[in-house]
Amino acid sequence: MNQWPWIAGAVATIALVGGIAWFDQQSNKPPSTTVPAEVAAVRPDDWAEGPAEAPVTLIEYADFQCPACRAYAPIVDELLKQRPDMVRFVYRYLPLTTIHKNALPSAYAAEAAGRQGQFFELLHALFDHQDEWKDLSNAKAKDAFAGYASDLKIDMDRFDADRESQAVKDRIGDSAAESARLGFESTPTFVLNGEHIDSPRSAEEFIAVVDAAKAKLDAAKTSEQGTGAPGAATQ
Amino acid sequence: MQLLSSLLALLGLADASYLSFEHFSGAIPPCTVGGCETVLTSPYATIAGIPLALLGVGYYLALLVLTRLEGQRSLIALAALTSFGVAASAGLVYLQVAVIGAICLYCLISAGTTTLLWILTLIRMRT
Repeated sequence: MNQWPWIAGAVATIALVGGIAWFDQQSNKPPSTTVPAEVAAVRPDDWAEGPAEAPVTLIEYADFQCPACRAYAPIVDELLKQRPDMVRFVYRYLPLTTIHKNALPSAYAAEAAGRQGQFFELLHALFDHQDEWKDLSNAKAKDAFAGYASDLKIDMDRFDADRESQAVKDRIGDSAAESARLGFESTPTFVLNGEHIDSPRSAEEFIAVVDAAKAKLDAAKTSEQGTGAPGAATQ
Repeated sequence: MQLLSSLLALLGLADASYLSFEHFSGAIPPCTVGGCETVLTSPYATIAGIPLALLGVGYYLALLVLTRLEGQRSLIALAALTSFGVAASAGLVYLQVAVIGAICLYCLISAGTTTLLWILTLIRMRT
């Protein structure tokens, strides 16, 4: 019996499935959609790094227990290091409570640390030690978070009071509700200058995406100046 | 019956190929509520760094070849391999339900395909 048709069939099937999968991925990717202006703007109670007047605003909706978010932390750090004057980085909470049992306690701890000016310091500690606390019970995880916080310049009594407070819980809850309204279901979700973007796969790709966003802004500015130039010349 | 077995093996091959493709395409799979991402990014999705889906591709390729061969020997090999496959699938479905707490449809398709192939092989051995 001739086996070749079957081998050809197998190869064709793999190729077909590969093609469908690729197409599926392309069509599943959210086309860069614009988010409402009040979402795109940096808010007074946002945790942000980088110069306030930076031309590019990058907002990340993330979960401290998500391995992908941990993987993106050094990527975002590299971006901020390479483009220090270009990017304002904002972190917002999108705790995936159904799959990550310590998503909320970790977010409460970060918010409490933030209220003492140590948000990004605790963020890095949480991501660095993610493997150590992700499987702990809520109570044990909270102890671990207190341990990371005590390594920082933090008043521990205030930290403990804050992370149990309704104000902190509401803050995380509001952010989660906003994410749901926006249809953000996976972490990390990045919003760049008001556009929901596909997550770049590396620091290099991220820098390229940010550079492109900056170039787009510059081009818009130049064309604005171009139309205004004759008027300016007569002054 | 033999043709049906081959087609099932093809279906399994397509399924495993798709999951392997998914594994190698995205550099950093995001965290998503429920669904395949949860299963495929769990520690159980790989053995020593090799994705189970890729092992599945090899498994279904072997099954496809075996379903095209004639003779009692290939039938015995088929029965042995699918018996192993059914046991592995049962373990993996258990992991999804009881440990990971999320279900991946593509993994269930594979489990179903393997179980059907196993049953078909047993029937062929009797006749």
